[in-house]
Amino acid sequence: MEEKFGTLPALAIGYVIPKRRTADWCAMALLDQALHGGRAGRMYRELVLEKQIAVEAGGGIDDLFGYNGPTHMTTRILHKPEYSSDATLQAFDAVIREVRENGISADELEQLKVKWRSDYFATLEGGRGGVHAEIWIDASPCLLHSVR
Amino acid sequence: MFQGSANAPKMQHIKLVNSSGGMLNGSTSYDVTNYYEAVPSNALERVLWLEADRMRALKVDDENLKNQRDVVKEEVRVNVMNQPYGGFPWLDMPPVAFRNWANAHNFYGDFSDLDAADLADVQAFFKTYYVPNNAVLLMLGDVKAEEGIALAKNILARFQQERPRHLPIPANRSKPRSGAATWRKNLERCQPWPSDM
Repeated sequence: MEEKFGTLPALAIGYVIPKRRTADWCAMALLDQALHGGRAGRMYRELVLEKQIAVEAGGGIDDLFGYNGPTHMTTRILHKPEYSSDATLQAFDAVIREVRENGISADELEQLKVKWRSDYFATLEGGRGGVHAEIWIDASPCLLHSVR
Repeated sequence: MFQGSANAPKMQHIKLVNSSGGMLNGSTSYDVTNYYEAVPSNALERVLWLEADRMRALKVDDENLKNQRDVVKEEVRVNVMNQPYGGFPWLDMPPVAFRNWANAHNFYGDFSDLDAADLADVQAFFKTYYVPNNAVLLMLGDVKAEEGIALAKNILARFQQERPRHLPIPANRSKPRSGAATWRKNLERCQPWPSDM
């Protein structure tokens, strides 16, 4: 059999994210949830389900808690070969523009927080028992209890 | 870190944790490397001792270096080279976005970099960064704070005397930003290996 993986064009766009443990950093975590929250995320809904340009559109923040220098929020898109990179990028930009111009509604924000918290608490049940890199970097276990 | 230390020969660390009913691992992220053990509370002293022994006197020799270099290469082969879009974008993005070496280099290291690291490099790195005052110890779960801290002081702190007290100089992590977007095209190099079924 011929192996045919890795043949779709892919695009990745990264934004530098704000300094850790600032108000902007918290906002970025929720923006990331809005854009890349799985199938409910705006990227997936718009690029895969609505416009059907992409077969995969997701992303995230490299390591929300574990960075101590510059890092990124990255969107990763595998798109259909019949669409150019430029056309795909325009569709990506449209999703960003929508947020920039119209913001996030209070209802959506509430849902994003629920999902974010839920995902966060799920990580605490992993094999490491909730050992987060931020605790190593900031050397403050109290931070674990400050997530709300 | 899994290849033995002065008083815990090769595999002893893993055997002692597993035979306590525990699990262990470690991972490296962009700015931090962690090691952890999750064990029943009656094995806490044991794992603190194991951590202390390898922090104080890890066995870094030619044989272990070769072995671990091959482990990393194997990871790269499995996770990156033999996976479609394997390094995309987590390995591909930083060199495009950043200019300072600490953030811009290939996170795993190219094979040529891995081959270039000799024993003296690895020993120097270990001596610089794997010191108690550059580490954070976290204990949680079924342990009383005062007991855990007393244990840690008893076992870990006494090794501190034997290691340098100065902290390593932090790498340059600033990002010179041009204000303009940076782009790069990447060729997907996934070349799957033959497999039988």
